Amino acid sequence: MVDEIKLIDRIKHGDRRALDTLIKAYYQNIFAYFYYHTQNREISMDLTQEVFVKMVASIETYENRGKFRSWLFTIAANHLRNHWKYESRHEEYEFEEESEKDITSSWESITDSTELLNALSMIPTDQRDCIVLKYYYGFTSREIAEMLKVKEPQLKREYGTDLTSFPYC
Amino acid sequence: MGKSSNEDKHIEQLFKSVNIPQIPEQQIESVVQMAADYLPVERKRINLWDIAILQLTTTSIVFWAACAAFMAITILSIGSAKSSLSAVGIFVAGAPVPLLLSLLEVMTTRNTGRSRAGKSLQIQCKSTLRSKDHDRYSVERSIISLSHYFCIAKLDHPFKDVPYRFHYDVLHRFFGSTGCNKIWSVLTSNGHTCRVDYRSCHALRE
Repeated sequence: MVDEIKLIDRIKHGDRRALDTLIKAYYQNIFAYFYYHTQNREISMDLTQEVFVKMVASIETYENRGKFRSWLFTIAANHLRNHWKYESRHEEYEFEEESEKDITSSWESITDSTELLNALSMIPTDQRDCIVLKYYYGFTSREIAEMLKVKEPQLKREYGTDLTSFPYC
Repeated sequence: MGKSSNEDKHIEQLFKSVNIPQIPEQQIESVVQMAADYLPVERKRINLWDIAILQLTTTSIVFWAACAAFMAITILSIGSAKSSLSAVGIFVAGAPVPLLLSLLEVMTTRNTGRSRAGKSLQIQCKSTLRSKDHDRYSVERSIISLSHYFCIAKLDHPFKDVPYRFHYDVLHRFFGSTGCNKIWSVLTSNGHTCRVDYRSCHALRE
């Protein structure tokens, strides 16, 4: 944590080596986040690159308040929303509406990674975001609520207290 | 609770089983290279004294004139005071004036261009404000110290000599033996009788 603060401080002073260390430490994490959402290697790589560019461009606004990881994932979550918005990738929503009946009714019936990715692709982006951030990255409900800029009770109300109940099950 | 916990573990296991593609090191390097173009520019580290001098030259001439006028009036008033009580009265009454002058100067010269100037000169805005404060405090301290110096000469108390001895030492340190003696002569010849001779004072210090 202390080293991370030092790294960020060095980046704020234009240190390229510190930037190198920080990006290498978080690249795979951010890439995985986008991969769970897009399930496309190339798109995930592009989005990851854009997130790091955004991070560096706004690094001076980061004030060592809260975890850097949460701050970085907030940028990633916002970037993903913009991506869906501007790239007009709304097929998933259309797909959801059409295939509501086919959706898995409980997590217990999902047994392998392929089924998991299929299930994830069928749920709304915000809910998918919550599930990925909670179960893959271990963020708390509070942190997720801050990242997605919603109130914690609203988050729990919409996606269930454990964030796993599908709204249309 | 137990069911939920088991479900959580099950979902975590499922996430761990997903095969996330590993990105080659060269690809990450290229990301670093691209992001490096957006690194903040290294800010110049400028000595606080340099900024203070810059501020001194850019401060309104009216402010300096007001300070000089106040200083002259205070010294003359204290010098011509008939009793030690009135000298102290003048000193006490005049003490907040430098602060008020400084505040007035800060309020009248405040503008939005300062932060922009700070950015364009790559000097942090905080530094320029700090240096401005630094200047204000220096002026205030100088005026108060000099007022105090002349005021203390008017007082009749058993420790009257102590400030002289102290000030003599300070002057000696800054101006050397010859310069100090000259300044001391000027200061003590202005109607004030120094009870401790500066030579003996110097000898005491040695």
